[in-house]
Amino acid sequence: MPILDSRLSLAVASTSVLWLLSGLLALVMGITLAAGGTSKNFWLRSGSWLAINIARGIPTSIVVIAAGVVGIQLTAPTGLPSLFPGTAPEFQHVGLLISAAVAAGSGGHLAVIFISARQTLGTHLIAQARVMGLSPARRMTLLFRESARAAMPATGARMVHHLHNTAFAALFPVFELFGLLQERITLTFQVWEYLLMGATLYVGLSGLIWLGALGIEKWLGGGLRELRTAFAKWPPIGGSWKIRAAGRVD
Amino acid sequence: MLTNLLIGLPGHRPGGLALSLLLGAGSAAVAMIAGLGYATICVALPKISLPLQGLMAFIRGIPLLILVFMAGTGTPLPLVVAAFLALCLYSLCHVGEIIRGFLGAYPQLLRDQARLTGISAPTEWLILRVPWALRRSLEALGTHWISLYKDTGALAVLAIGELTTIVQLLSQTVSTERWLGILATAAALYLVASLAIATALKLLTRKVSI
Repeated sequence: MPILDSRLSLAVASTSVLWLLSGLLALVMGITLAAGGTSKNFWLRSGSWLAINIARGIPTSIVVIAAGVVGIQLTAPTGLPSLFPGTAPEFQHVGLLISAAVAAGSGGHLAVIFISARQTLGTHLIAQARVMGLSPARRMTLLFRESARAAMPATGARMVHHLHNTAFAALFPVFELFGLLQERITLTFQVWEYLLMGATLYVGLSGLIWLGALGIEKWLGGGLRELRTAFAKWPPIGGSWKIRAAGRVD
Repeated sequence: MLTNLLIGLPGHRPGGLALSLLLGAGSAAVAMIAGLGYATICVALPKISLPLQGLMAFIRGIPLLILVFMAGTGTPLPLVVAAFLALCLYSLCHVGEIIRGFLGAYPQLLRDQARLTGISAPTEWLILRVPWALRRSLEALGTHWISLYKDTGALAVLAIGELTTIVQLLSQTVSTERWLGILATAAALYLVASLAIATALKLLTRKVSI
């Protein structure tokens, strides 16, 4: 059996889909929990932090196992799109549930990253954004954009870890890279060949994520400078705002 | 059921949560010692150690599941030893970089002061620089240790009797309702242990951090 074949590229594609889908879900979850975790409403803040601590405290492996077993017990819903290449149509919903489980494993961590990044803006800047009279949604968007650059390195590292967590899908009949490696090793006994190839592929994918995060960070760097200028041109309370917004004086 | 989850199945003890904690703590300790060595080499010989740093970066990109699987199936070592070594290597890749960063950030002023007071370079490294770096890096190390403890669940791929494996084994013998109960109990055990580690680390950080 040749080591490199079309099923390998299919497995890489499926892993990428799993990562992308669960990554997007994790980002949405992280942003939502971060918004709740910094809310002024006590109940919303407490509930969000409870969810964050639970999401961070339970290993992804356990959440994935729970999602997988529940998914297998369920009858496959009709009309589901075939998102995961190589996975049988009757297990596509298991793939979706596992994506949600992997997302839950990263959502809490991302929320803490976003909250920490927001705090790097400084209390003055956050208070100033509040006195500008923006709507909560607009204020949140503005602060999110301002803090995004600080959040990018940690977010990138988490997304690499997130990629690694997709390997837990191999515990269930969802086709992806680690599952294929296990299958091939069992069939061929070419242990090191497949493991080294798998490791290289994962390192390559991790490198792409890392480069993407670095690119976004650099891009946001430029964006931040523009934002600062735009901020400085819109002073509701005079010159001191300009100095604080531009110089990040806390 | 709770006893099995806490200390493992009869005849295979220690297992369950106890084994997860033992493996996590053991590998963290080994990785700390090796990480200090790695960081020292990298800080002392930054250019020569570049291949070593590259190798560490490569291993950091490999999922723990693959590392564990590699150690278990690709070496003749007993499974528990192989898995333990994989955990050590995984932890070393992260801890080494954390300590390297903080050792490298040791202020030049403090080094000059040590030199002026006649402290030799090895003594300065041992009694000033390493403690400074460890105290500064405690928060980052703590986050990694909690993550490492949770990641011991990856050993389930070799069916080593830690908590996740016990959950899988118990689940094969019971109905779905009871299985979900087992899973919820295991999740609660992981959560309580993680929160306990986090609290202990917070107290330690408050006590020793600069």
